[in-house]
Amino acid sequence: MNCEQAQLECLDLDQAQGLDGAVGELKAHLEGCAECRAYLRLDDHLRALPTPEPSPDLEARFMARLRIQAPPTPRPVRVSWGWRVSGLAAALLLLIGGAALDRALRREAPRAEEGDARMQGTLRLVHSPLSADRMKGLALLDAGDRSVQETLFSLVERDPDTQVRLAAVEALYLFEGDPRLRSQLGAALSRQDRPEVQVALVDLVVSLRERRALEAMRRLEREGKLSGGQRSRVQAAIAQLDQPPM
Amino acid sequence: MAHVQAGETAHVGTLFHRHHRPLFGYLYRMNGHGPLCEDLVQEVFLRVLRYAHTFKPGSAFKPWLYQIARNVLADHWKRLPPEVPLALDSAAEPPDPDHFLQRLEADQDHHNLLSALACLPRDKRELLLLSRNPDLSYEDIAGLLQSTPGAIKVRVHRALNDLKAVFFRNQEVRS
Repeated sequence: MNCEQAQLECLDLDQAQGLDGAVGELKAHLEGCAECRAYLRLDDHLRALPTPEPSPDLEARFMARLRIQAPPTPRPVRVSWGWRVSGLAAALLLLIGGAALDRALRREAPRAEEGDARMQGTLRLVHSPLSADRMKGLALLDAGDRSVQETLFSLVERDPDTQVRLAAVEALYLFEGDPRLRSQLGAALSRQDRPEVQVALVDLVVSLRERRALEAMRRLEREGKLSGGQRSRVQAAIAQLDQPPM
Repeated sequence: MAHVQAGETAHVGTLFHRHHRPLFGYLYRMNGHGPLCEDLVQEVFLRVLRYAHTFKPGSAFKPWLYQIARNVLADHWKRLPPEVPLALDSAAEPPDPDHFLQRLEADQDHHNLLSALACLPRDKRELLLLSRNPDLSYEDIAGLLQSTPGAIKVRVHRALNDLKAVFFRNQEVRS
């Protein structure tokens, strides 16, 4: 094995294990080649670079800009006909308006049924045996139904497809105002066995500033199963949560 | 994204909340100017809203987001004078790699590594930052750069060697 081959193989090593992660021919090469050890160490340091933080008010500034540049879709404005039309026409309009209002009120019940049917359809997708369907279902979820949380936690913990687990973590953000979500995060993190999903859950914990999950995060950091970049991200998250709230 | 595509613009705020920090990190490492990067981050998410219809439902969001970020950066650079290419001396390899290792270990604050990274040409700097982003795989980066995962890996390898050369050269200049 020459240096070029060894260094290309180093790019696939689990950075948390560093030199110890190398086996066979690569290990033998690294033991005898300071050049390649330096290469591997440099890569490790690059992955562990801390992420710079933006100003704390950036999010508020963006939300203000969003409100200006993308205001909520305006409701259709009715043109006032009052000064143009006769009393008879005004009366007719009132009559038509009343009928329309009546129809709208009668439509409320079917709308609720439509909402239920939509939710049922979404849940069917979420439970589909196909990963693509489950991803689609997760994209369609909204925070309207609290019972969905249990389904999401179950997907996060048990889905065979890591991408689906990650999408389920993303969907949990919809419930960020719900205290039940916060109370389950520490346990979900402790039971999680995939590093990418563990890091996504840690991001969610930090976003919610859920300090009860700190112990699970510390255990995760100590276990040493994370890559260099993932571990430094968890360390940064622990440091962030350890700071007293401003 | 499904909500944003359905016209619920407020959900861009949710996406911003989840993704703006790592995106800011990438943009900051690319040009090193905090206030400017904050403007660029905002522009990225305004484009998410503007081009939401181009997002394919069911596909991964992060590679799409980083593609937009690359376009925003490219537009920003178009307004600046062209970059002066860095002359990398291939002969400037460390004569003593163990000495190099000791210096890297001692460099606890990452300052010298960041300086070396900033000296790399933009395309190599970008490749290293994208490839060391835990949210992006070699497949994702290949999609972004219209290449193959194997070719991306080779380019990352070359960029790392260039970074090593610059790091060592900077150390020599300092001492």
